[in-house]
Amino acid sequence: MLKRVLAVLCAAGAMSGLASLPAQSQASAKPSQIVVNDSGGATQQANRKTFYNAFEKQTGVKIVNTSPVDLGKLKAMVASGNIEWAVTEIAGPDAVTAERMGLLEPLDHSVIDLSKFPEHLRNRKFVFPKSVYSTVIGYRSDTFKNGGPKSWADFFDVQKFPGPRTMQNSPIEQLEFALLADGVPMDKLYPLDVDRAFKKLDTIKKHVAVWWTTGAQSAQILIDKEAVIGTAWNGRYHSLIKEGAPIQIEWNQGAIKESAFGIPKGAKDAYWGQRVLAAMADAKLQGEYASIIGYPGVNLEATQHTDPKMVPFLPTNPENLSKQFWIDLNWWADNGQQVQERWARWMLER
Amino acid sequence: MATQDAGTLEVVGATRRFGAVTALAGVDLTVRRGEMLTLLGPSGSGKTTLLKIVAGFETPDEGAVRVDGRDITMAPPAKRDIGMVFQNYALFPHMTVAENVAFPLLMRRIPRAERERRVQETLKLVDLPTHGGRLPRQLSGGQQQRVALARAVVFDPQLLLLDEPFGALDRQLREQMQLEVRRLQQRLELTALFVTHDQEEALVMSDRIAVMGQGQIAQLGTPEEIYRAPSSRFVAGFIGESNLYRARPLDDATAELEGGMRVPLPHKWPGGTGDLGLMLRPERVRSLGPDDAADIAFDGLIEEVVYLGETIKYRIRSDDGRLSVLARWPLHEANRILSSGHRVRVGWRSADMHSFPWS
Amino acid sequence: MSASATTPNELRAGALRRRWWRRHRDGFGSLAAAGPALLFLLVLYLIPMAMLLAQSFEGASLPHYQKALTDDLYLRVLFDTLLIAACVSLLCLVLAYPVAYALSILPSPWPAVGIAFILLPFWTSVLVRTYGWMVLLGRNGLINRMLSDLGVIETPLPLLNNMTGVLIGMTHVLLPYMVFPLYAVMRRMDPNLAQAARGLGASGWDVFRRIYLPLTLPGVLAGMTLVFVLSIGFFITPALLGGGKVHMMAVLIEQQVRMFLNWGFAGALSAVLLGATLLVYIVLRRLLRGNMQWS
Repeated sequence: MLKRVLAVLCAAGAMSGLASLPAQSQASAKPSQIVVNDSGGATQQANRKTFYNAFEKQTGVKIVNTSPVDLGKLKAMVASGNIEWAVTEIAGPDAVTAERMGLLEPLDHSVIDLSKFPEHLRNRKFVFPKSVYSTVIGYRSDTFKNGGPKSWADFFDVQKFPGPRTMQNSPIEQLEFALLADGVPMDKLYPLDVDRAFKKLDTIKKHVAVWWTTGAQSAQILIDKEAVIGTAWNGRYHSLIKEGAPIQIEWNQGAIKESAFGIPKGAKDAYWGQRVLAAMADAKLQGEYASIIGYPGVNLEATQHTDPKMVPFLPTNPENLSKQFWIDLNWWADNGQQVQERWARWMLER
Repeated sequence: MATQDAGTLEVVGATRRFGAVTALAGVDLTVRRGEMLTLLGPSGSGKTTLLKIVAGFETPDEGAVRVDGRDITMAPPAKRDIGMVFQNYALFPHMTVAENVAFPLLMRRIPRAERERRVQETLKLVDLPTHGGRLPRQLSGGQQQRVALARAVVFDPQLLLLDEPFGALDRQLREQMQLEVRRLQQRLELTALFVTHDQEEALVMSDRIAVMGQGQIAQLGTPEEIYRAPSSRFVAGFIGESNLYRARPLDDATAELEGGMRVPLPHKWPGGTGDLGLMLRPERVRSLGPDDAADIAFDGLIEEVVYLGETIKYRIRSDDGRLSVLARWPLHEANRILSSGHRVRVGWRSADMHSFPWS
Repeated sequence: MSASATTPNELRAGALRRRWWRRHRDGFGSLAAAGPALLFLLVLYLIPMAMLLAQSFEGASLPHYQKALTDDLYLRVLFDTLLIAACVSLLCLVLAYPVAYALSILPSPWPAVGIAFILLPFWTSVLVRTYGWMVLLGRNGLINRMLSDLGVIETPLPLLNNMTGVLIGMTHVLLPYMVFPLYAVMRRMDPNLAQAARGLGASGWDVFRRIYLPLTLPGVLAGMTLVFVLSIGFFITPALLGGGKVHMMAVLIEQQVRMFLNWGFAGALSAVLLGATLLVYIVLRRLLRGNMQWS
């Protein structure tokens, strides 16, 4: 009895092995649909209206969306060889980690045209710089009628600008902001002086009413007046300002970083993943995307295709760009875990 | 009257309605000191409602309840000093036997030593002296019954209520427990109100029986009175087995039964011209020899035979087909069992018949 | 005695086996009935958990466990987590007990209606419910505005972005898990018991303390266990309603899994959390078992 069961199992295993061979050899055969994983919400909607629809029209392959973005899941998929995604968004320093751990397929530059990207990005091997966003200061314009905080020094100055604050519950950027507030110039931030940063953060801690966790929460906190000064991603503030919320953005000393995409190592739809990224590199589509959500792509020609009314709200708008600094994702990939632990410890202190 | 009733339960004009249904329609009842009075009736007769009113789980719409002359109509159950044995015993499953029995004492703030002494004493009384440490579920049905009884009497209540307490026991155990409870009640001189739908049980247990129907007491009397002289068709039908005939009086001494047979009336009949009910207990029907005479006598055929062990029951139909009678005779050695179709001659004395107004 | 004769010992062994089988036959029957569910649990839950735990044991000196058990950061968060779970369990108990009681004595169809209302929140996502609480509890939320309009308070009560908010939100989400076990035991309760107790001289409070509460203890234990265990894994609600100031273990474990891909340490933290949970459960059971021998 047992023998027979085993025999059946072996046969089934052999057959599935055989069956999977031709599938692998024809990796570029056209599937009817592929899965693209992104952060969901408003960005997914904007992706859908621009890149995803264009891709489907070009290739006839349908895109199915999943979310959220999850490095752990990416690792599990690659480790098990059971890869659901053709392309996935990867947040912040996670992109560096994913590249270092070999979780990504190399970008195929014959498919993805990076020639119009800024020079330092043209040779990206694994991580596709899809768009950029900025963490900026926002404040209620009805509370600060005569102008709000203009810098992180102002943000940390509770005498000059009284009222509860909100910041992200993460050491990433908060350390940079603290150092800027403490007088470190933008171009001398890295490597971060962690001790100095925490010392400065001590001074603001009890004025932070909410350490936010989700993007939706970050801007809403100002609307609900849980805080009157805060940080959020520029697009989050913009969508509320567009609806008439009394919120003002301060671009000065904003933290720019890229929103990255990559193809999981060994993805069976890798070729079609490259084609998705190719659509995301397109100047016209990037312009349309930025017009919807305020997160510009880095294709240098994209601005020509962007709604002029949106341009002042883009972190890449030259006037804004010059005031901001780029987050060093490599530094965070190197030091993230240790600093995160210290952050958690610091949060526990009263 | 008042002196005799002192120290007893009095219910006066108790009425209880549930919506359009009148469960209890102005019941008056007195239970004398040391007496076991049974409320007997079919379900829906109001006996349980009356018991609940006495216990305090129901409040009457009208009327009053008094114990020892004290009005307790509105008193909460806890303040009534009444011990109660429930249908399914309602023993507390999480307490040991001793804890169960001690419960009413604990609620009365009796000191520990006294409590333990009385629990032990009462457990001995119900023949469970060594079972104090067990949990109810570790006991047999009969033992649980005794614990429930012990718990109901341990605090010397003025009144003991028993709500169909033997329903869950098998026949043999039930008869044994009936006698035991009766003995205990008599020994402790407890005033008790007992509710049952089982007429045999009522006959065994009671000093007096109140037969209830449609929210009223149909008849109140000793078991013998109820058995021998039911006051109505309802009581006659409910207590024991009987032959029940509707009769129309023709004159002072004769009546015509339904079917046309004429019979002499018993001496004590209600009188008047209205229809009568005539009741004849099956054991009063006698087997007659061919030449024996009786007040009422006829020849007939045995239609049905029911063997009951000690006795045997026959249904006999008269040859003219006008009368059918149920007879129950003891099975002596001399008697052989007659079979269906056998010819017999039967009869009875007119004094063996009990009469009451039909309606 | 011939070789084939059965010795008394063998006879006894056979009888013992048969008796053992008779006693456990029903148990095996129900085990077989639960087979698919057990298989499901085994494949989708126990095996992955075992694999995660296996990763936590790397290194001869178990460095992951050394860190998880000695670093005061993790010990403090562990303590906070257990404390929050305990508070939520108690709050749920206090709120659910009267609700379950009311449901258990209502005439039909009202229990079904009540249960539907209690289940209603289950059809909304935790996230939506949590945002709902943010609207209600905020400084300018419904509750604070109402209270200040009524002149009850002058400055807004701090209901959100602190422990209060977390406890309110978690209690709301977990309340049904407490109501149902309680409702189940209360429904089975013999109403004669309370009546008997009252007839024997017990006041309302005595009936509750000596009869009703002890008899519902199994439901209390089941509900507390469920809520406690579920609380320990809570993640989104404390992060959002606590304003980042309330720290729970699940968040730290999730960071290890998702951000740092340090699954060995995540496994160790999970094992420690699991161990602590089991310990609490065992202690709770021990404490209550003395009162539950009868069941």
